Amino acid sequence: MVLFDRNPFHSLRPTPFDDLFGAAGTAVRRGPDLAESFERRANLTATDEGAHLTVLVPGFGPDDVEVRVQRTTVTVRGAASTGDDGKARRSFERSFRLPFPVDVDEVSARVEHGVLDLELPRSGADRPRIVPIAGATEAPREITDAEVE
Amino acid sequence: MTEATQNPTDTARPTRRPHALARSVEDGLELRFELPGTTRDRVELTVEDGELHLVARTALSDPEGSFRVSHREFAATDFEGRWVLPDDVDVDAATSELQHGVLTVRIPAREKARRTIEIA
Repeated sequence: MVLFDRNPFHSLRPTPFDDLFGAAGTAVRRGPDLAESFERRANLTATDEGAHLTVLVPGFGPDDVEVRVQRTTVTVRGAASTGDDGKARRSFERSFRLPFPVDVDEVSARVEHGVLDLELPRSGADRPRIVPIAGATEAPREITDAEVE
Repeated sequence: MTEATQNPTDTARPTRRPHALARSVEDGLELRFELPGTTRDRVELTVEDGELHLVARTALSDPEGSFRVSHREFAATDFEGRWVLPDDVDVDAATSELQHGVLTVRIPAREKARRTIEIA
């Protein structure tokens, strides 16, 4: 569940890029250099052991992305310079609410080929456990054939 | 790595059209394609009859085993798309570069042939 999304160009909308190129097979129209409509789509999955967050961040390298984790919230920020002069900048910020608190010290992040992968192990105190059931202390006794009859 | 040797045109996985931008630059046309999760050896770029065909396989995948989906905005797909190029570009002189999942293709404008038509 997304807690909030400050991204003004939400990635699920059609983008100006698509309009420029139009449908498959249409001619390339030359347009102005519009604001970059890079993707920031995200998938968040979870198991009892932890959560996995993947964000598509094409154009952003490992040095361009910052990840902040606080208990049940992950905030991903990206800032990269674009253009030949390096002046143009693009940035984004997205936050996600996690289904459980995570162990902040054990979180690992990786940006490769424009994809951010985050492993978020569930906080130990919050993990579900198998609870041993207390009962009769007497050792189970094997039933003899004679008893069955 | 077995993925690297796979044929990029093998479309066993679903594909989607990448975000793309075309813009005029001083000496021609610059195209940008957003292909997160792809590497150089997984991209195939061809031009035939003035049409650019792009196929890019990605390393995007769902986690293994059983898991709950808390939030889902994209599917683990490859990319594919076709675009018709303008006539006045020289595709033989095109160059391309892939960085952080963004493919940039530069196609210089064709030098205009200047001809004087004789009047009979």
